[in-house]
This record gives sequence, C-alpha cells and structure tokens, in this order.
Amino acid sequence: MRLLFTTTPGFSHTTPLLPLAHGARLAGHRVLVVAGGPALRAAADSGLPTVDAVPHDDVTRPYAALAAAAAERDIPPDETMRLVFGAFGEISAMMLEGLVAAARRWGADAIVYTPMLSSGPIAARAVGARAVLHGMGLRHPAFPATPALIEAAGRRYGVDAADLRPDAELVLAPASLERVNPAAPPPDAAVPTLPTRPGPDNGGGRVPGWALSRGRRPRVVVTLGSVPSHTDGRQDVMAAALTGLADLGVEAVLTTGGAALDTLGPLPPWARAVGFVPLTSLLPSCDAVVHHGGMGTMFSALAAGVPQVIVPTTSGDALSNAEVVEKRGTGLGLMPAALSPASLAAAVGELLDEPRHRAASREVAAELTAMPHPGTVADLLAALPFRHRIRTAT
Amino acid sequence: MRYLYAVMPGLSHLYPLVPSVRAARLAGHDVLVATSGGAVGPAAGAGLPVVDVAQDREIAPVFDRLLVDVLRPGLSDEELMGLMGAAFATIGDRMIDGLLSTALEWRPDAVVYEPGLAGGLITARRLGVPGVVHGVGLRHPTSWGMYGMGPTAARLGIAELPEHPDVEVRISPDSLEEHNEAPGEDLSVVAEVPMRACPFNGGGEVPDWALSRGDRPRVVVTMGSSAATTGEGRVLADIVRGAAGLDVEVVVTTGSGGLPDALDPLPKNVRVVSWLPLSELLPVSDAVVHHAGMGTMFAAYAAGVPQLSVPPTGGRPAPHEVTEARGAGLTVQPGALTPDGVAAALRDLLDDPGYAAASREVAAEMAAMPGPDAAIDRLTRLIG
Repeated sequence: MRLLFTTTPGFSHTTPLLPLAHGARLAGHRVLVVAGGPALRAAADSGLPTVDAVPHDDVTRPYAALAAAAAERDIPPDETMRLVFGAFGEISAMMLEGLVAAARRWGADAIVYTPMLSSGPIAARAVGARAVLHGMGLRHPAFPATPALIEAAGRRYGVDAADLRPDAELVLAPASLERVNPAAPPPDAAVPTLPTRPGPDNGGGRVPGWALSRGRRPRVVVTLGSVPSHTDGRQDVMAAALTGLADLGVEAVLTTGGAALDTLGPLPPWARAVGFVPLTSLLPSCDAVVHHGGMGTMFSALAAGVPQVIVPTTSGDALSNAEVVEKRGTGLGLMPAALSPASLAAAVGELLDEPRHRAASREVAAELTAMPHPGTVADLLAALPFRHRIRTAT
Repeated sequence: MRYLYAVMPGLSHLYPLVPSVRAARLAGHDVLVATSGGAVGPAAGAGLPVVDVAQDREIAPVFDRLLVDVLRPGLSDEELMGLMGAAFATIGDRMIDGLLSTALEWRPDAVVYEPGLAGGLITARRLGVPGVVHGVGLRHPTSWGMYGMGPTAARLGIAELPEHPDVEVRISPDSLEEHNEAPGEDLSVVAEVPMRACPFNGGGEVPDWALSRGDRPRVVVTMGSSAATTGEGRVLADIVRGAAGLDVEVVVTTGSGGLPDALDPLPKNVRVVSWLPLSELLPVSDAVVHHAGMGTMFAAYAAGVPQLSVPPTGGRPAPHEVTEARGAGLTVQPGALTPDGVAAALRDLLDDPGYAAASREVAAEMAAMPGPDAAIDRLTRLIG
C-alpha cells in the first residue's frame, strides 16, 4: 500500500506521524511525506522521502501574519480561534494543488493527514485515495475548511467539501486520557476509529554522555518545545525554575531549543542548558519534566512514565492538555499568571515527593505500550473500505 | 530491553542497521547508536539517538588512506583483505574505549554490531550480555572484523579474543547465499534470526519525475563520489556515455563529487542529481549501474531491478560474482570498461527478460523474509 502523509508546517506537527510512517515502511508499505516548511525538514531528518507541496511560495507566511496580529494587541480567545482557523485554512489552500499533484503522480492509496489540514481529505477524494485522519495526540475536532477552499475543491477537483469526514480516524491517545479530555469531539458512528500507539518520536540527535545514566540527584527537565521564538519569549519560566528549584536538591536540564537564554545569566552548578537532545533519550534518566503544554512533550513524558508540570504558555491545546494531565493524576497544571519560583518549586516538589504522580504516569505508559503497533495499523488501513465514491476528476 | 547498536563510522555500515534500530524502537525498546566520525551526523539524520564514542580521535584519514591503498595495482585478494583488516582494526582500536565506557554507563541488555566493528562483541563479553552480529548484506563472519584486534585486546588485558557472537541477524536471502563463497557465522554455535532487508540511504526530497516511471526505460548510474569508485571520473564518464547511447533516460547520482569534465556537453537524455533515496528511485527504474557496494546491491535486489556492477577492487566476498551467478546482473571490470561495452551490457539487462525475472525472484524472496518487527520480537525472545 502507498501511504501519503501530510501535515501543517511544523516540527511538532510532523513528529507525531513518524511512528506510523516508519512502522508502515518496515511492514513493507511505501511511504511519502508531502508537506511544506519545517515539516519537510522534520520528515527528511527522520529518514523519510519527501515532496515539497508548496515549492514556489513560503507556506509559513500565514503563521507570521498571525504572530504579527497577536503582537499588535490583546486578542480575545474567540477571535484568536477565528484567526488560527483562518491561518490554517490559508495554509491548507496553499498546499492543496501540490498535494493532489504528488498524490496522483505517485499513486497514493491513502492520505494520512492531521486535524489542522483541511485540504488533506479534499486531496484524498480528488485522487480516489482513502482519507485517514491522524489524531496526533488527544482527540480534537478537525479544523473546518474555509469557504475559499470549499469553492476550490469543487471547481478544480469536483469534490464536495461540505462533508470532509475521513474514511478512518487514528486515535493516538489511550482510553484513560480520552475519558478526561474536555476537547474530544463526539464519536461519529460513520467513521471507524483505529487505536494506534503514538510512538513517541522526537527526532534523532546526539545524546550527551551525562544523559546515558541517572545522576546523583533527581533530574528535572525544563523545556518549552521546539519553536525557538517561544523559548525565547518565555524566559520567565526558565528564570522561575533556576530560582525555585535551587533548594530542591535536584539537577535541572534546560532545553534552549536554539534560543540564546542570555538574560538568565550564568547557570548555577546544579543546572545545565542543552540545545536539542531527543526527549525520548533524555526522559528515561529523569524524574520530572516542566513544559509548555505541547502535545508531543506531554506524550513523550507519559510514554517514559515521568510526571509533568504543565505551564500552558502557548495558545491552542496547552490548556486542555494541562487539564487532562491533572485529571488523570499524571502531573500538575500551573497557570502562567500563578507562575513564581515558589509555585513552581511547590509543584515540582510534589511530583518528586508524592509517588502517586509517577505511579499514574507509569500506568499510562503501560496503557500506551498495550496499544496496537503502528505496523499493524498500517496493515489494517490497507484493508479499509471506502466511505466515499472514487472520483477521477482531471 | 535496551539495545546498543555498535557501528563502524561509515554509511555503508550504518544504513543497513537503521531498519532494525527503528523496529526495536517502535516495539518500545530503548535504543542507542554508538559510532563515530562521519556516521554520527547521518545517524542523527536518520532520526536516531547517537553517541560519538571516538570524539577526539582521527577517523576520516584512515578511510581516506585505505581508499588510496586499495587502488594499488596488482594487489592479491589476501593483500587487499590485509589492508582493509588493518584499517578496520585501527578504527576499532580508536573506538573501543569510548564504546566500553558508553556501554558501562548506559547498561544495554544486548550489543548489536555489524561485522566490521568486532569491538561490539568485545563490549558484549565485557558486560556479560549477548552479542548480536547484524548483517549488512551478504553474510560476513565476525572473525573478519576481529582480524588485527590482537594488540587492542592486549592493551585491554583481554587474554583471548571472543570468536563467536550469540546471534546472527541475517538479511541476505538463501538464493544469494548459495553463491556466497565467504562463510558467515558458524550456525552450530550461533543462533540465526532472518530479517528482511529494508534498503535505506537517507531521507530527503524526491523530485517530481522520480515519483513515477518515465516515457522510456530508466537507467540509474550510482558510482559514489570517491576517486576509487569513479575511476577518477574516467570510469563514470564512460558509463554515462555508454548508457546515454541507448534509447533510455539516464539518472546519474554524483554524491559529494561533481560530474567529470569529459561529460561536457552532457547528453540530452541524462539527468544529474547529487543524491536521491534509492528506495524510492529504484522501484521506478529498469536497471542500475553501481560500484558493487553492498547497500546499493541490496537496494536493487529489493526493488527487483537488474544491476550492472563495476567493482573498483577485488576481495572476498565478491558480491558482484554472486549477482552474476544468481542471474540478476552482469559485471564489467573498470580496467576493461568502454562506452560500447557498457551499452552492450545494459542492452542485455534491459532486453533479456531473464535478468529482470531473476531480480524479481530475489525481491519476492526478500519480501517473504520476516520483517524487522518480527525479527526484533524473535531476537528479544531469544536473548530476553
């Protein structure tokens, strides 16, 4: 089977797809990643073949416009969501033509796409391939197609984009997390769901010698994800950690994500800053992780059975991720407004001292391990019936 | 389980192990690649966690010198193997201390190594965990990589070098091994785990035209970029001229080198790329000309594409002889190579259906071998 993977431009929008892509490949299926911007780099750096869906334009332009709007003034939450839908709708529209062309030329049997990319199912229908929604992490409603995209789908490819429900949905989150997920859309009886073990995969990289084994003190990772500007913009989290964790007797590892972190001054002897280290190789020697609420980091910690403090500094799913972690007992949420050295120290101290957070994290890790192997899921996809009539519009 | 993969600092040593590392990771095992030199970046670029075990030691010059030495005219097979064994032992010695200290820190449950880095077996024995030799193509015994490690053993206070691993992961199919004169491990003392080869030579962009077949048969020429494999450009130029004389589309991969001047002007039916994922290109191609590197050969076998080998040196095992004996391709020696000779050989490969049929048989045989997931499960049960 030929599985075409596509996603919105972003490292963390791509890494959740990697386990299934590699599992499918090792199971003897063919895999191609058709994407743009940082997603291409992330896929190529994982050893996958790629095609640029938007070779003649900057597919990340809508992000920049969104960031500029947010920098200009305080935007209320509902307007933020409208702007976010607009930006991802624009990205989806930019990618549609390249997606369809590559899928047709390569002969894709299925298009596996992420919830923010509304052109994924349109392209699948345009070329007569199965549309497979990849949930990335906790379930969220798929983003709606913009009117312009719906119009283009009909005009260029004869696809009725009013109903973009997929032929199957891959569910990456284990049941005990979905039960407490406030964002989960209601189940749709018409869309079969396939549970899929989510990895994790944070990309490859050098593992420093000290990370090969535990240190003498409990090790706490503080990370704000893979977007350097975000780490740069929220140095207050790192600063709170450097002050707050001083008396806990821990070793702190700050991931800089390429940001300079120069306002923090010289680091104390119990803290170290590292550029990029794959979290999957770092977490097994750690006792707690403090992060921004990104889905990839959250799942990496869960898979390693390491309890987490989420300081939801990003918009999007960080808030609901923090809620899920708290409700499941695998960690704590700490709102940015309540962030101080003392509050962070209290949260990390609780994770280290009270074994229940680690116990719950290990339960989820075991639950993740018991989910179906990505290679098996690829075989199941090959046997899926189509929901939609095959179109052969030219 | 914790699997430590010990790999010589070369892409042809690293890439054949990548599917196995991936499969172990997907099965939920912890994995770590221990290598050095020029393989550290590509291991990270293959999406894997990697440790450089010879960070401050010179590696590349040893390989560079070897690539010059093996071109000396009139070398016997024995002299050639002696040169290669000595170079591998030099690099093995530079890696062994870092390999041992990494293993002692990380505490693997097994050490998986490729036959070129026998230090992997030394490490496994030192830790008291199973040693697993992992094939990179046709079977090779560990003893080959252990050749020349005597002084290292003496330095480390090891009285007797280990001879046999506990397990051999074999990626080479039976019908090729029937023609392989070089023995693998002694299977009366070593357990065998067969695994399907999943050719990998890096990730990256596939151009539009390579997503499907072209209008004409497609011939891939991939000779690497060293003076040794391209015949200082002369051999590469003659191959391309010969291939371009046919009614085919020629795709030349140049690697880090450029095209030789002799190819200016370039024939119209030739495309030049620095690099492409062979796992994607070969399935939409009809023949491949290569320097008899094991990775390229196995990529061609897996895709069922007939191959023309232009081996820069002799030595054992001679993989191109296996390809010929299996009926999956032909060989032209670089010394006797002319554009006409290349054209004639390619015409045979493209027109005589026997080569494509034999190549597809090997591909089917490989596809029927247990996949990496199943192989890792089996390995884990064997040693767990």
